[in-house]
Amino acid sequence: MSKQYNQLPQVAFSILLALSLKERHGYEIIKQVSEDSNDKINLSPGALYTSIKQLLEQGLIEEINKNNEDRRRYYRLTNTGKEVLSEELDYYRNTIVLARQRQVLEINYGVYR
Amino acid sequence: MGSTVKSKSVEIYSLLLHFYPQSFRRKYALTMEQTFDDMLEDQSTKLGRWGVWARTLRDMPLSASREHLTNGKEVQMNRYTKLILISVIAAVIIVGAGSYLLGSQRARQSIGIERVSVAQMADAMQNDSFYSSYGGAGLLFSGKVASVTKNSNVTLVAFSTNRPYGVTCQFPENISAKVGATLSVAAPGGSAERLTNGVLLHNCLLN
Repeated sequence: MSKQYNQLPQVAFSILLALSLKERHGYEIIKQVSEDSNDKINLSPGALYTSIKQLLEQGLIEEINKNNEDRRRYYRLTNTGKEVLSEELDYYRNTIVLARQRQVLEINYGVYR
Repeated sequence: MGSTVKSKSVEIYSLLLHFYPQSFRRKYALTMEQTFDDMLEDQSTKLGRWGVWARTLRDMPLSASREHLTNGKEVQMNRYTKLILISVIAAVIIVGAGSYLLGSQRARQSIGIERVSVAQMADAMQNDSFYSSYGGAGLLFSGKVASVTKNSNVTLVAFSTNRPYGVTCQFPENISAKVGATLSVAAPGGSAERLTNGVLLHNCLLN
């Protein structure tokens, strides 16, 4: 595969993952990212929208018009975004398999002898 | 959270968004304000107002400087560069917010005191010029008492005006006032309410 693995920054990956179930507005994305990461990634509006800007420019997400009077903007994955997310998840899946084969996970969890 | 405190927070956040480049602000400022507002509004999280602010201010120096320096592209910054950037921008934010708050305080302190007559106030309300003339001022006036009504712990005193419309003061306490006597009163102009027959001033104090 010509594409480099894990090329998405962590925040961008988290946002794509948050949008994988349904379209969401800014604060819904922030909450979903916190929930998905067990509160390890807590985005501020600044971090969120600078990443959203990049994702829009890369064509991985798109904005949808719901209600012109609402200041909230809703975003969803594009087909390209779904493909990139799927490739990222494949990378992580393969990495986990490899780590298990090498018993790295067990070492980290302290049960390997 | 009180709506005034919340709207003040959003107001300050809106000012801080000026740290981002103009092109970025033009696209995202309104929706960022809305997201910040949603964070403050959400009572289901344990963040609280200060938690929302801490999260926002911790990130703002980095995300704003990244937008300025790289037009949003990812860059690697070493620990010291990050530290310097955070320190500089945090200092600017603190000084800016301090100046803003101090400015508001000074503005409040600079509110004028207006000596007026009851007739002037009654006329101004009829002419629709009351709030523009006296809305931001503390009003001092004297007037002859036309009637006194006591209701629970509130006293309503109507003043004679020689007009078909008049001025009534609401004192948030029991005061002793006699019809025909002259009372000196202080009242915040912003608390005035328009009645069909004149002006009702809330939170009056004997002067």
